[in-house]
Amino acid sequence: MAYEKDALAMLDSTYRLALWLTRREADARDLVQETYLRALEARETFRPGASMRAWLARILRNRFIDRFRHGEREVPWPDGAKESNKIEAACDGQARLFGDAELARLISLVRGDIERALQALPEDHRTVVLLCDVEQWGWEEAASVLGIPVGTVKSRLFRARRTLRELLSEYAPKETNVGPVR
Amino acid sequence: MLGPCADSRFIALLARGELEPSEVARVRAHLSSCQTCPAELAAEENLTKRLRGEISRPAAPAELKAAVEEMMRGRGTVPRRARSTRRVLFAASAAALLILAGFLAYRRTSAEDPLVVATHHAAATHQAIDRQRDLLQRETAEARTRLLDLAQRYGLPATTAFQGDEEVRLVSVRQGVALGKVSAVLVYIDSKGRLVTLEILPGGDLKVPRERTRAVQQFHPMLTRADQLGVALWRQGPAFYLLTAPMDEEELARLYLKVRTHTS
Repeated sequence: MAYEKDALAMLDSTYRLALWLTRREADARDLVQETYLRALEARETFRPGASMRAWLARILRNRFIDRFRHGEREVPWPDGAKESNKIEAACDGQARLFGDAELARLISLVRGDIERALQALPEDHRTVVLLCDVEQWGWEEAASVLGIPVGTVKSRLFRARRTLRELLSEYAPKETNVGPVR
Repeated sequence: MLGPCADSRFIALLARGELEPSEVARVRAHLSSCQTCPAELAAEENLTKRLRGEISRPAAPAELKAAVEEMMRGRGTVPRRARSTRRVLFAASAAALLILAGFLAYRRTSAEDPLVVATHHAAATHQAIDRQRDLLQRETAEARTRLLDLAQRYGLPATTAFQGDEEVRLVSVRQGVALGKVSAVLVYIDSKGRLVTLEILPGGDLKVPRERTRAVQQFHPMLTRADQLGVALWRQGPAFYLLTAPMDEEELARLYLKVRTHTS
C-alpha cells in the first residue's frame, strides 16, 4: 500500500499541474483521475526510491500531450475585461453550485499579470517554470517529467524566464505622456 | 542603452542561489562595478519571488480527493471495511460516485464473470446518479459537448450514441470508469420521470455469448436484472454498451431497440 499512499500524498501537486496544463477545472479533474488510473496499472514499472511526484507528473503530462496533440481542444484563455466581467457576474449571481469552483479559479487566474504571463508561455516552457520555480522541484525531477537532460531543463527555464519578464514589462502600465498641453 | 553584460548569464543562477561559492564571490565583486548587472539581478530576484509567492497553488478539490482515494483503495490490498457509504456519497461529486460505484460493483463480483460484473456496475452507477439527480440539470447544457469531448479523447464511438428524443431526454454526460476503463455515461430522463443510463466503454474482449441473449427483432442483447433495475448489455462495433433503467424486461427491450436502432 505504500505505493498508493505515496501517490495520494502527491495529489495536490498533480492536480495543480493538471490545472495549469488544461486550464479548465473539469478537464483537470478528468486528467488527474486518468493519471491515477494509469499509475495503478503501471505500478510495476515504478522504480522504488524514484520521485513519486515526478512519476505522476510524467504520466499526467504524457496523457495531456496525447490528448491535446492536435491542438484541437486548446481552450481559449479568458482574456480582457469582457470575459472576466462575465465570469465575475456569473459567479456573483450563483450560489455555491457545482462548477462554481472553476469560475472562482478562473477569476483568480485572470487576475494577476504574473499568472497571465505564465499562461501565455508555450506548454513546455510553462511546465518547466511551474515545476522549477513555482513548485520548486529539483532539476532532476523536472528533467524526468519532461524526459530531457538537466542541462536542457536549465536552458529552457532561463529562456522561459526571459519571455516572462518581457511579457510582464508589456503588461505593465505604460507611462503616460505628461508633457505640456498644447 | 547599454548592451547586456557578458557576465549576466551568471545572474540568473545567482538569483536562484545556484552558483558555486567561489563563483558567488566573483559575481558579487563584478556587480559592484557593472552598470547593467545590478538591475538584471534585481529583475531576476523579483521574478523568482513573484513566481514563488504570487502564483496560486490550490489544493485538489475534496471530491476529487475522495474519488482518487476510492480508486486507490479499490485496487489496494487492504480489505476495505464497509465504512459509512453515506458519508462518502455526500462528500463525493459526480465523478467520485461513478468511480466508487464502479469499484464497489467490481469488488463485489470480481470473482465472477465479466458480464455479471458489468451488470452490477451498471446498476450501481445508475443508483449513484439517481441519488444526486438534483445535480443533473446543471450539466444539461454541456452534455453534447462533453460527449464529443469524451469520444474524441478516448476514441469512444460516442458520436453515434443515442442522443435522446422527446420521450427520453438526454440530461447529462459524465466520464466514468467501468471495468478499469474510462467510459462515457449518458444520463436520460424519460417521460415518466425515470432515470435511464447508457454507459459506453471500449469493448476489449467483452462479448455476450448467444445463449445468454434474447432476440429483440434482428438484434441479440443480454437482458438481465440487478437491484430492481433492468440492464441490457450488448456489443456494438468496438464498444460495449450498458443500458440501465427501472423497467421490466419488455419495456427495457423496447427502449433497447430504440437506442440500438438510433446508433446503427
